[in-house]
Amino acid sequence: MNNIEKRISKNLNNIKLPKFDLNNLEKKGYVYMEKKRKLPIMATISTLCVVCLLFIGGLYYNNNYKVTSKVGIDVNPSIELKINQKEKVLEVIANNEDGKKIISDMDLKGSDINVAVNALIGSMVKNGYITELANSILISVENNDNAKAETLRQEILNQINMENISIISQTITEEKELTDLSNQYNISLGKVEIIKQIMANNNLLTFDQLANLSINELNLILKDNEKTSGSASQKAYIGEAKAKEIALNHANVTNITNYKIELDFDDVMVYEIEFKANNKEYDYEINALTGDIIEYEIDNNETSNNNSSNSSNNTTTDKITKDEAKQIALKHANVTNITNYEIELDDNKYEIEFEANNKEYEYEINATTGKIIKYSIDNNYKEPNPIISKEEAKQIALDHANVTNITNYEIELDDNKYEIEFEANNKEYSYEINATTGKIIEYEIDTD
Amino acid sequence: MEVSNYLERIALNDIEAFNELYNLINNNVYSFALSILKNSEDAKDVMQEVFITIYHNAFKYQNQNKPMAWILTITKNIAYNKIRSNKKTINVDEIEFISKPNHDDKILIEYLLNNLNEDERNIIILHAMNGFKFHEIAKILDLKLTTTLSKYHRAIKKLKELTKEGKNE
Repeated sequence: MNNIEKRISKNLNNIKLPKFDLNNLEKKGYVYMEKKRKLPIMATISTLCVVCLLFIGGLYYNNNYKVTSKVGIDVNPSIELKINQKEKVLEVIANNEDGKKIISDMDLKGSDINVAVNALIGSMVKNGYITELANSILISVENNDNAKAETLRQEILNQINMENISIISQTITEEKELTDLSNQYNISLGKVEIIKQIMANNNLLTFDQLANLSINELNLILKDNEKTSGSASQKAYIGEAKAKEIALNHANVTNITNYKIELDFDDVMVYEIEFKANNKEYDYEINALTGDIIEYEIDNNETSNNNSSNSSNNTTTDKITKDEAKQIALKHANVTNITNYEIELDDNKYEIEFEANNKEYEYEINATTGKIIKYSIDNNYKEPNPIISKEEAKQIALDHANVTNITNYEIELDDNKYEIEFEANNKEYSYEINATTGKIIEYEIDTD
Repeated sequence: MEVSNYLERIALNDIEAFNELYNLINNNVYSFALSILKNSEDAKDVMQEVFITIYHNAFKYQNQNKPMAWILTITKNIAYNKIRSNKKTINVDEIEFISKPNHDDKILIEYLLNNLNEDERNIIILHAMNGFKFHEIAKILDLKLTTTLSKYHRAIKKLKELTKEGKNE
């Protein structure tokens, strides 16, 4: 795509469009939405309560306006309730657009915290945010006094009277680290805290990946935990039975033992499946939404230590060569054009890695017998990160142009090439730089 | 997540997925409608109708592979069924931007909408915003591949010349 098209795309994507309001369209009769009303009268009752409490609330003054606790509710709508020592709502804050929609026609000020929480959850069900497919709610209670926060958390949890939902509840303390992350990612303190919990249990996951997930997905990743009640819905996914069928069909086996399946997160929600059959061990990772096989590994239960007493790797006389090992792997993978090939001899086995057809292959081959010990194929292979950083690419372009003061600088990585644009000395520069080698592929200088 | 995944979820009545899909592709749908109608309000109406159609018909679209082409074909059909205003030019000031475009970009969009003919506009916008291949664009617009390609090159040339003139003003 050329620069003009990029500018067109950038500007057309910059056009402000109204929010889509399905509920409003339904009122006008444009759309029919199937509703799952689980709390038919709850909302009405709670509104009445609010009205009553507003009158009563008006009679009190003194300390009743002081915020003592905060209660966060996250589904996708994210709402914060500030409450006083008598557990009455002083203020309702929407943290996102969906939150605004939920509280738009409710006045919860002055109502009891339990009434407010139930009314909000009822409204989320009514508006389709809590469904059979995504039934998780996160409730976070904040109070400087931990014991009080814990009491309040339990009380709220006991008062939520709905079936088929899953609640994660926690107490949190406002710390700078949490607040910073909350501002940076534009998510609630409660969601930050739960993500940190997940990361503490699994150090392979990053905050970036998790911040985009829904509460239901986080709940599924969190698994059964003392903080959760009810089980998070898996109905949006293909299901364990279907995932098992896909793996078994692919492995072409029927009699299996040591079967294990788990819903987990690896960039996307995946089913991780393990089983044994025909004296081999199989591992599959299957996309939980689409059923695609992302990665699989087959361990032939071959050993590499025929030769383990001979610890010196330099005596290669009785070993197959690197080239022979490579040929064994390539023949098995049935590919010829490979890139990023690597081979290493370790503990009498060759470890081979290469890429072909957008897949990543890994083999372990017994260096004495040439038998494949195990192999894995990653279908979801992504291009490695470019070697040259944005800053370095910029410097290469600037050095070439021999300028330092630039304006309207833009850089974009596309197809392993940096596309750089800037203006200097009344000229427009555009460069294409190979992101691996740093070589200038093409450049253009336009004089105004 | 890919558009087809959203459609699968919408087919299961997942409103969150619908809202996410809307946020993801509303500018693509709107821009194509704007290209056909040259009127921002009409384009917004068409966009709304397109998303209502998606909401009701997502279930029909399971397991096929070009969801954006499907969505933009719906957009084309709805836009062409709309009675068009007689205005020959559109003033870019009618369009509301999230952040104000710079002078050159504003001129570019104005040229695009007012100085290119309809096929040229449609081809450029579909190509620039959706990353379609030319044969896919040809199919959406009911044009021959060769016609699509020559119109595309002519349009790009026009835009390059026009934007240069614009700068010398």
